[in-house]
Amino acid sequence: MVLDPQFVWNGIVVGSIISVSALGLTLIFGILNFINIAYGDYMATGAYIAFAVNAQMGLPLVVAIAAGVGGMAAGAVLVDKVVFEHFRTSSPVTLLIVSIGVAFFIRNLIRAVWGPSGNFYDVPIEANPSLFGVRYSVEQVSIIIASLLLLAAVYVLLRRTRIGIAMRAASDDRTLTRIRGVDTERLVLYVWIAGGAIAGLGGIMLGLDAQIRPNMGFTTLIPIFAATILGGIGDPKGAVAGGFAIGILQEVSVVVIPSEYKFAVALAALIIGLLLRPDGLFGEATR
Amino acid sequence: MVDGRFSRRQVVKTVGVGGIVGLAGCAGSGGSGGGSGDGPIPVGTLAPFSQGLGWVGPNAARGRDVALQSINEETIMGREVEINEQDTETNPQAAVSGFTTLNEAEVVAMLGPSSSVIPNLFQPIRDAQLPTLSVSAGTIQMDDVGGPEEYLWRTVPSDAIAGRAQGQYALSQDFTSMAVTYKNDKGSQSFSASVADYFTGQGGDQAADVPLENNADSYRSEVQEIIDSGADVISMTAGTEVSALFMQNYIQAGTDIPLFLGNDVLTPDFIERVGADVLAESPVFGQAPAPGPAFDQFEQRHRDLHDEAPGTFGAAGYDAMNLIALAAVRGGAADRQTITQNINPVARPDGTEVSTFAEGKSELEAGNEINYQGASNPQNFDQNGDPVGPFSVLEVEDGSWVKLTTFSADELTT
Repeated sequence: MVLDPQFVWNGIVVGSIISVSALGLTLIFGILNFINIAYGDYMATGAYIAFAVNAQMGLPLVVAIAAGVGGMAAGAVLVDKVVFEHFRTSSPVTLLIVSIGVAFFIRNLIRAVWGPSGNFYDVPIEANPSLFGVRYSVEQVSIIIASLLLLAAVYVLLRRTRIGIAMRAASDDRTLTRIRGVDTERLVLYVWIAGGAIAGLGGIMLGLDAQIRPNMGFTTLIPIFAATILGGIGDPKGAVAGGFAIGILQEVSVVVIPSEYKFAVALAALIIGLLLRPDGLFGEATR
Repeated sequence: MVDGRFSRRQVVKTVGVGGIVGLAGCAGSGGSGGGSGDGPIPVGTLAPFSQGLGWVGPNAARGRDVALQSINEETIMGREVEINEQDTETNPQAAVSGFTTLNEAEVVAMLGPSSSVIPNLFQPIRDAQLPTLSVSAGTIQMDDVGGPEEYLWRTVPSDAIAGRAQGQYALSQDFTSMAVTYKNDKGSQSFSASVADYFTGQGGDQAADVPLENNADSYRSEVQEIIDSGADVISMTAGTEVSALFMQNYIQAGTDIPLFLGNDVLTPDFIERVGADVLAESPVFGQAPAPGPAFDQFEQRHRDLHDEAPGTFGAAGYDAMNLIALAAVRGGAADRQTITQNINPVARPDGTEVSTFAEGKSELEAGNEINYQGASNPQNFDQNGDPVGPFSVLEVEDGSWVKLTTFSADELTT
């Protein structure tokens, strides 16, 4: 059995998308302490806003990406104000169930506006160039670079800025952070802006690499959740490592198992991870 | 009764008994259908109008309506046909529910659904004795099922025949190793299996068998798996969504392995979706039943009625509606048993050839036997209610599918 390096490259691309998306999800969990099932649909919304700007309005892709990211950041804040804010003191289970309702609403709203069929961004479909036997596209290279830049930016945000340090503190103990004079409601606002923007970017990346469908985010939730939990839920660097691990394992697995089962790899990795590293890859679960 | 008025108890009793009697009257199994009387003749259409194959139903219904226009002008023994349309939603549960609705509405015949749901209806159709002509089911699961005893026909050829056309063309181009890839559902599996069976049966090798999951974000790894298998030709079967994404990844992979597409995407919509230039420059082929003897006049009438060219399965819908109406005319009654007994006789090869309802009705009323020549194919049914006809191999040129070559019915069945 020879491992074609193309599978590894494909895995890095998929891993980049999962990592970025898992990062947004884990940031939201860290501060708000609930699993947002609607996160996948935030991704789809970002992708569709960019689609509308790019393919329907005919504007350049860069403008569309900015619109998708910005639009979803605003959308996440709006959903929080309209829905989640009213459940701030509710249990995580209640919030999870509310987020399922939000997810259904957003997905069907997308269907109503853009229809149930898949769409593509206005980028040419052509044979990709090859380097050392590996075919790559400009979009794929852009996805990897963008994800690395974003991951570095979030690292700097969390480690080097007052907001980031406050976020980490609130992630550890929200009540104590508030007692120390931090405006935690403002932190929640920042987290929704950051989480929504990252979800929008993840969705656009996914749409560029694949196609844009109303349920695109929902179907990607399993590997994203797996990456988040594998890395230690609430731990950003664990989510990133988990995302790359699952993306690469998933794509390389088709060499040894039928491709129809490759999505089970995420679940298998999750189970093995929980058994061997129950506190996450870096042992900092829930921090 | 008190002073000529009903007491409250009597009213309740009367309504209750009346309700039970009324419900009992509705609870029949359909029997011979609602064809008696002078009102419109109820005919059902059970097809996918939504979800995965949601494009099939509207295409077939537009073709059916071309036939219906002529039938209702000419009438069947002075009666018009009234259509009762039910959506299968491309899933078996909704299909069974739609079938039950049609059966209870006492339709006398039904234009039937697609491969993904029709196996679930074999037994209900037999039980209801409701003659059914599927207008889109190519599944090989129907190859040994059908005919008057089963109350089941189809006006499109079996996937086995389409698969043979694909396999024959591949072999004629000296391809020896084929990879099959397909959307992971019954219909696509059926088509792919028939292609692979024929190809390997004629001495070719099957290099890979790669299912495509419906909701995948990309098929890049699947395409790479096929390329790595060493296949020199690919057979891919899926609907528009999966095929469009697969095509994108196939083109991006920069491979020049020829690719055969399934019947479902040989549409203008698919060309528009993927891009005419991209498809014309790639070694991409398709296959479709060669147009039947009556296709040209059908196409013109379709344009006149709908202001557009017929879509895939439109001609099959037209043929099914004509066959049902002609069977009723020949039998002299519009009920389930009469139509069942007369479907094969109106398509028999030894009758006078007719290609419209008006021609057929005229010949039958003159006491002559007829041989209906369809728009989608000649509609000569075998003992299992399957039509056998020629198939064409197609490629994209100037934004539309054009014929490369045609295999005759004899070449495909021997």
